[in-house]
Amino acid sequence: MIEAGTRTSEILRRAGKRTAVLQAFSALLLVILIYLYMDMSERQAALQDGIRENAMWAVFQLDREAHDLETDTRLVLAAAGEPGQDTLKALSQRFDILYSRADLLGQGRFQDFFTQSGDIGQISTNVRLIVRSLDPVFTGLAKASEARNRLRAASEQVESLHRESNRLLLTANTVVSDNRAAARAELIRLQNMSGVYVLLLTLSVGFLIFTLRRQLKAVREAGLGFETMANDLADAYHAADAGNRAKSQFMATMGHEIRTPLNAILGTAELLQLSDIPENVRDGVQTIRSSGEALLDVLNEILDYSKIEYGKLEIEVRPVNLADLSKTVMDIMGSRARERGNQLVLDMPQQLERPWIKSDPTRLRQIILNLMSNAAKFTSNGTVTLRLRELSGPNGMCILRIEVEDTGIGIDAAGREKLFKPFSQVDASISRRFGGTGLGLTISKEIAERLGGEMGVESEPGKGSIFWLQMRVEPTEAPEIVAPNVRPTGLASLAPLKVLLVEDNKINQQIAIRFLDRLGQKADIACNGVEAIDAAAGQRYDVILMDMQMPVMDGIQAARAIRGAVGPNQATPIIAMTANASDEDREACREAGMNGFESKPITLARLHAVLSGSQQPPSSVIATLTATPDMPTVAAASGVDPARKAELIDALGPEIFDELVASFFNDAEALVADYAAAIAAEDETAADKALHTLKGAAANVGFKSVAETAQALRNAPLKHDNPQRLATLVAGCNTREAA
Amino acid sequence: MKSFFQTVLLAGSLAVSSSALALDKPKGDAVLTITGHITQANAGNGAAFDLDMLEHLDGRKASMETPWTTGKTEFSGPYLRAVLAAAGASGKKLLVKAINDYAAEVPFDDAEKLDTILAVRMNGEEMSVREKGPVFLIYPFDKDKSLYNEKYFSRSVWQIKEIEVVE
Repeated sequence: MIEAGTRTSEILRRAGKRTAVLQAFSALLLVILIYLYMDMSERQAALQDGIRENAMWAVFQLDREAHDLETDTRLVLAAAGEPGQDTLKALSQRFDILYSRADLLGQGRFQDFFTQSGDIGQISTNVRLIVRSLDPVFTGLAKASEARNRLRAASEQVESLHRESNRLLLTANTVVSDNRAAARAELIRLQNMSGVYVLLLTLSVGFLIFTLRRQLKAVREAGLGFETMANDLADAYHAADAGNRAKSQFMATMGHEIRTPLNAILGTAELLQLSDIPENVRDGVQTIRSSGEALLDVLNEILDYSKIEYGKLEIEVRPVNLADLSKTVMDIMGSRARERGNQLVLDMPQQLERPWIKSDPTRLRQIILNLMSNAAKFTSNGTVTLRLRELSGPNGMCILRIEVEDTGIGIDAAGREKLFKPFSQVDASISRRFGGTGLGLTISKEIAERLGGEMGVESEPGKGSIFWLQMRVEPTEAPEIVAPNVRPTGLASLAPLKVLLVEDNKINQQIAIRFLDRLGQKADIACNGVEAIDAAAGQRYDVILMDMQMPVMDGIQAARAIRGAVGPNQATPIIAMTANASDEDREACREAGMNGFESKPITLARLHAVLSGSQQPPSSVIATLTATPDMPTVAAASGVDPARKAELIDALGPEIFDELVASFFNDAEALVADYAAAIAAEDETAADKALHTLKGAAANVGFKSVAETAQALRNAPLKHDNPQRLATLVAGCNTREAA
Repeated sequence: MKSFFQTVLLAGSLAVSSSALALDKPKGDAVLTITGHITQANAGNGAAFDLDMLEHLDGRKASMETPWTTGKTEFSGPYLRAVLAAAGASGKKLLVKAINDYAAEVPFDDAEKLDTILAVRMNGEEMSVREKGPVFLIYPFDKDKSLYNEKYFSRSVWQIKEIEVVE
């Protein structure tokens, strides 16, 4: 491709040179043409000088008149006696004519001709002198008394006049002949010169045509070259694009793969911290934990960035309460800010005009958290302010402005330019001092744009920075279904529906049935895909809640079979429920003909939403177990998830919750035993099944640490001490729960 | 100048009226005779004009350069067509004859289509034979530069004594 490009540009360069030569040549040609024309017309004018011919005629006439005068004078003198008046008058007139002829020689352009060569000029002057000297003789001749004598006295002069005029005639003739010959020679010379010019012209035109042809050819070649180059570039682009996609895909896959064991590491470290260990080991464990958390942050950023690059960043718009959001962020940031002696300030109107807006709460929170953690990172013993303002734009538009102000080190102009570019930090020393991928702001900016907003920064070195996010928002009413942890009495009552619950895990079944009962619904239960198909064949349901991973037949296959069969449930909404919430899983569910997708553990509110049919876009939380932003992973890992617990108690009542927990621990013991047996038998499938079930049940009851550890072990190599660790973890939870 | 134009105008109206009337006999010396195909003969078969008669015909005064004079020279005299009209001439060509028997053929059209004059005055003075007088056929070289060539030079007859109208 590079070769083709070089060749093309070489061709063009040569064509350009040729064009320059062509232009110079054309200019030269033009000059020659102008010169030729001017020269020719000048010579033409010289040749066309008609005066010469006319002068010749004048000389001839003069000679004739001189001859006539001589003859007449002789006749008068030859006649006997005084001549008559008429004769003299006629003679006088003849002299007048001769006079006018002689006079003409000195007039106008004739004079030029008669003075051009010495001889002829001399003779013409002689002629005129003689004519003047004869003037007194002929003037008043008719009235003169001695006319005859006067004539006789002058006859000598008259004769000499005729001689001179004859000489003039002969000389003029010679001059004219010479001139004519010279003119003819000049004409021939001109013709020859014209010939040369014409030849030059012909050559020039020939060269022009030749050069033009070459140029055309060069341009055509260049065009072909460009076409080839364009094709090559397109190929290269496609290759690069494919490479980029592959890279993004790889990053996403690797991210998930890394995150699972990382969660296990974090969980285990936390458990270790809880156990009775020596102080020096505790410090080490703390290091493992904080490093792991940092690694998780980095990983999440990279995953987000790969999603952005891959064009897969998904935005889920739903009602967001700005006040709650801000408070959550302040809570999360609290400890981090304190670590560096910073004070956190929330600057928000007491009463927001539009507390509820339509946006993506997760993403919005992500941006604010990113800005806040940056602010906290680069500020020590200062203040970090989160400021919310409601502005009104043109046409009654509502604009939300969020500012994060710090009193930290600030950023100079050069740094501000680089700020929002990927993998760039203000300077290299920053990354050494503070760490981080340098992706946070890039991601935030990208998300802000996707949310229809823009981001910017105002900063001065040493005086701190203000990062702002401003976006147009659409106010909305507080939703009927509110966030979890709110008493479900606020939920609208539902008409009784026929629900088919497909779920293999007993605890999950129980919780789901309790939730459904709470919502006034009765459900049929199928324990695997085959049972689900059987049930669906027999009866029409209003909705089918389908677990994904089940023994005998999984949810995807079952959904496909129900959609494919000519049964009463061909068009029944099927909602997938799974803990494995990856994009690929969603795609698989969609392809199998399912209508919705819910992450497990499902909340009462989501279940209500699903059943009420006024279904909001399904949750898109992909990594439910790891990156739940509401509740930092590790904070919740100790024992039971308090939010989940509250929800369950709220929905089921404390007794049933206790019952559920108890049955979970029973099940868990059995499952750990199964797992141990499977390990002993080196049966990977059985081990994985036991872990999967344990994970699902634990997540459902709210034992996140157990769920995460189980998930982590699923991906870890089989080890004989695994069951023991798991058992200890479960037992630990049990103890704390009992306490 | 003004009086000249008045004269010219007067001469024009006279010429128009006189074409219907018989041409008067010249009172002074005849300087020009129109012969040949004419209707208004006043001297034998010819129409003779003296200087006064010629100057009373419609004409023009113009300054121009000619090959026979040095510098700009002013010529004045009646239009050739006015003289021919006064003589009741009609035909295809004119044979313009000079005192010295020089003659040139001039198409009748040169009188009709060009403002040719029979100049009788040069720089306001009457022209003697020595000064190519008494009558000089002048083409309008001042109005039309393309006339300035040998073809018209040879038709520019001076010392004219007679114009023969040929049918």
